[in-house]
Amino acid sequence: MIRVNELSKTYGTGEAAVQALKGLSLNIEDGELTAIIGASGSGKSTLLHILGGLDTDVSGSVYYDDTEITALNDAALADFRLKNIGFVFQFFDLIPELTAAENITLPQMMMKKKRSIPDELAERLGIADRLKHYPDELSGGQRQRVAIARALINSPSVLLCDEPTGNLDKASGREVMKILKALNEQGTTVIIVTHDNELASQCNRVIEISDGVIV
Amino acid sequence: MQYGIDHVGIISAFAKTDVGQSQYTLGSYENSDAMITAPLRMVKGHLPEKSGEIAMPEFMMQRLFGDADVGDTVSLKITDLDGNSENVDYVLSGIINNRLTRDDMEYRCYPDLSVEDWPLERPTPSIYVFKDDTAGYKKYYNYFTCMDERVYFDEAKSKELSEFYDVIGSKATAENTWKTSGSRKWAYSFSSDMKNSDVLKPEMTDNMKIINLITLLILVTATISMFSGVMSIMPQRIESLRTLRTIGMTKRKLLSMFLTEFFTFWLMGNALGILLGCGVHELVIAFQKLLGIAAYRGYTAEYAVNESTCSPFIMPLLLSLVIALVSLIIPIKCIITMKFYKTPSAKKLKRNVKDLRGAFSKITSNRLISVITAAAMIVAVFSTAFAYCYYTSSGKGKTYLALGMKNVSEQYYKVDDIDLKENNFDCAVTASIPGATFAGTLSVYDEDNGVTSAQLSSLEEQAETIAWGNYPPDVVCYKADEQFPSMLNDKKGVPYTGEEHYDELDAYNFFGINLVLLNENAMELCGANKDDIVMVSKNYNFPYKTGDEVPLYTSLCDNFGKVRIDTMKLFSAKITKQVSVNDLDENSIITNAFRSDYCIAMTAEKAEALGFYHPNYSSVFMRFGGKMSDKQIRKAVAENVKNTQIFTIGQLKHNAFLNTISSNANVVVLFILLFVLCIISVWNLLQMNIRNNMDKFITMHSIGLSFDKIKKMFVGKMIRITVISLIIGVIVSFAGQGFMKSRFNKYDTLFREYQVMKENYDFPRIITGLNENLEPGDQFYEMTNEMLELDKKYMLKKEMWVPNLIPPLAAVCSVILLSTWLFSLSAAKKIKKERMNEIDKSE
Repeated sequence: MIRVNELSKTYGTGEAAVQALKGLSLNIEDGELTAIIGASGSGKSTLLHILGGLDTDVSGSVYYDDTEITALNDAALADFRLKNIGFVFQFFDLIPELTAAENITLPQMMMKKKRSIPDELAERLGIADRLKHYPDELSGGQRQRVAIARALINSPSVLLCDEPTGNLDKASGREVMKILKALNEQGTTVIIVTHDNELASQCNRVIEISDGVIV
Repeated sequence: MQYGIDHVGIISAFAKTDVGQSQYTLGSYENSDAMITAPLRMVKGHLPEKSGEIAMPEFMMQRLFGDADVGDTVSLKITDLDGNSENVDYVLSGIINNRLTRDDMEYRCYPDLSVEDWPLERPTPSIYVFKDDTAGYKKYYNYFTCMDERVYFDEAKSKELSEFYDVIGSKATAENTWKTSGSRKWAYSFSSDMKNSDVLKPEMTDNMKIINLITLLILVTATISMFSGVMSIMPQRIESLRTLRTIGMTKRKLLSMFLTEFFTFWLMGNALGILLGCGVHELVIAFQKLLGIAAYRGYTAEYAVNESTCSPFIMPLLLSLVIALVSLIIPIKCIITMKFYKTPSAKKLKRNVKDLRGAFSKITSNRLISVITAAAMIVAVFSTAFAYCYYTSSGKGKTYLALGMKNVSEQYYKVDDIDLKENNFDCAVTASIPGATFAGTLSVYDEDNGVTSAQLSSLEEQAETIAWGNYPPDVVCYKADEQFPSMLNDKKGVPYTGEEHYDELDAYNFFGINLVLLNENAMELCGANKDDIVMVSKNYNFPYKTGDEVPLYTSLCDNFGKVRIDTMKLFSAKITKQVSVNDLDENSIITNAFRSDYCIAMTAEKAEALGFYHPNYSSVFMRFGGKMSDKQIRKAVAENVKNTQIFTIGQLKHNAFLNTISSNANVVVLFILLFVLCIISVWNLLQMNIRNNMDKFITMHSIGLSFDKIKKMFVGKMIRITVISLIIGVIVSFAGQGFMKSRFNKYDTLFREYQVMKENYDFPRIITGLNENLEPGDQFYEMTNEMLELDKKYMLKKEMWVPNLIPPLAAVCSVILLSTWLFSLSAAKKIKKERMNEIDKSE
């Protein structure tokens, strides 16, 4: 379970300070497919980054089961993230100098594990024949699927997605959503940040954030 | 003979003998022409005419054999050219009239050479034996001809010279030296036609070459920097240019806009650079002035401007334009070939990734950038080696601060030809006399200069002193007979110096003699005490012996240097001791006091008692025994003497250091500039690497790599590139040193062969200058040509490629490695900062 207690985040200082999150608290159960929606600047991406351990300059706490990630240092957080969390970004964030296969197995390299892509994963994501290609040789949808494969390669318990379909056409977006739902059905906790209400409606739970608080 | 050369005198030399502390040469006349071309006057008897006979100068005969006369048998220990000694009996056949010093007798016959260039291994004999007695000994030959026959040699240069070989004899076995003699006035000179620019050129050419080379290295490094700077902005710029293209801008307009922007910055950079360059020049001059050294020394800008054909601003602009154009090649190509959409980049590293390090390497690898970084470091290392070699070889002095070198140039410790450091002197004082012909000469019309006995006594309370003073010889004279020339009384203004004066005195049997004042310590060095009056001769010819009364005249001069007859005084000095300079320790500093062939030495007190005018010491050397500091010494001496120059050892050391800096200032400044450019280039490249790969580093952090790990991997990669580059740079430096050494060795080998060839070569060519009018195809011509080419191309100074490169290379490699590490760390810190910015922006 993911527990968020009185989470606050402020950007800037003095008169220019902006409070992105204001004492936000929530729980997310294992296996939930949760959508976090809100307008631009509402604090949803901030929340996702904090949940992913990418931002630690916060007040309040975030727990993954018994592990308080907000109390961990960068090295420990990176390790936690590598083993337990998968990230999918709006702009894919693939490394252009590496092939699709190398991008996917990057987390394995970080864990010093033997590199291998399960056939089933590649088949399921429909990228088995594109593994030797470089990102700029792939379509948007293919790139996102490669990104999803990278996020899943270490079998994380949580998948955090920041506008995963934001850069895709409708058809590709539906494909990606289908994959995320299938993953969730297999037990992975999936949290999606989106401003697409139609996408949000496909999730079990929708959390709306406005002005740093849950509506 | 074919070329009108009527006489070729041949004199051989085969052995040496010791006379006192000097060695004199034995030889013989090999042919009858030798008597014509190198005649000798005899006091008595004749030159050897049969085996077993010997003739030698009178003073030598007296020194060695005392009262021996012509016809007596004498035994002489001779040492041949291989160093084997034996005692040989000779019959004295003649006494040669030769009062000259050994150097005069045996070397003055080289009219074309300065003293420093005398071939010391081939003097002319002073002692002669019959030629048959030289058989069986290794010997060398000297050839003489008469001055007026020399003109024919010019014709002979280009013609067949085989008949001369008959005269010379076998070339293979003899060492030959060619010289001219026959007259006191040595008219022939190799350098008579040399212009100022010829004198200046060789040094300036070398210096200019050094500056040009370092400037070239700066150019290369600046190109690297500019190129990498342009390449670093290209990825983003191309995207924004692509957007403009998409909106509707033509490629021509895009290019024009890009180039306008580029050259605006280029002009600004040049203006700044020129300002800085001129500013640095002025700063260096000001810095040197501040240190008290002549501002032009070591800074050849003025010569460079004179020698170059361009103004000092056009050249830098041109060079900078070249750099700019090189840097623009890729951007222009990108703009010209730009498409509306981003095409897959064709160039990717094909290497398979096995682990994270491989992936990181593939991500951050940009071959071009790595090569550029490596090139910058290699240039830095090599230029260090080069500059260090140059610095340690061509500096006028090497100081304690020069890396690895501890010697200080001897010349800076010399005062009045005495090396203070070698003789452990703390201080030297010289009379500062306006218009004196050399330091140490006292003027008898200025009694305020020099060090009086009273002043010296005060100094002697604190330091051990050795002092002397020289009276100009023209003012003190003695005569051979007792009669004072009445005619001199009538003359108002006998010339002080010059031929006329000598002739005048000679006509009345007057001889000039140098009065030398020595303090007690200096007298002891001569083996005399303070009460002695010493007759000093440069050889063993004493016009006056111990016990003789020498009639001495002394007078004052007027301000125009003319002897004032009305002040002339006569007195006599009784010689109490005779000293030959030859008998003094050749390392003793007191030999410097005796500049003339004949001197009378006494203390200033003695001279004063006799009635000499102004008996002051002009050169005083002091040892304070480490009891006082430099400043204290200076103060103590200045309180006791006046109107003199004071030199302390500390001051001379300081001068040596400053002179080293100044003589190398230009190279040092350029080298520092070059090194700084290299470091900036490395820093720039590291920043560029981080900037271009920032997104990827952030992605990797998102996946699960900590900042520390990313930083470590980045720094590790940069250190790897650096180490490889430095190793290559070190290898290139040593290879360069080895190459230059091999060039020098080749030159050296050629030079030695050249020397042998020169000695055995046709002498008409030698006399007129070796490199003149030699013909292609001639073996000598080819050899000297090859040598000249080597020297011109490689600036062959042996010392330049001999220094131990390890200390400077170790130092520069450490600096570069440290810089890379620090810069990498500093650049890597940006990753975290950028990560935070990304997060802020994403909201």
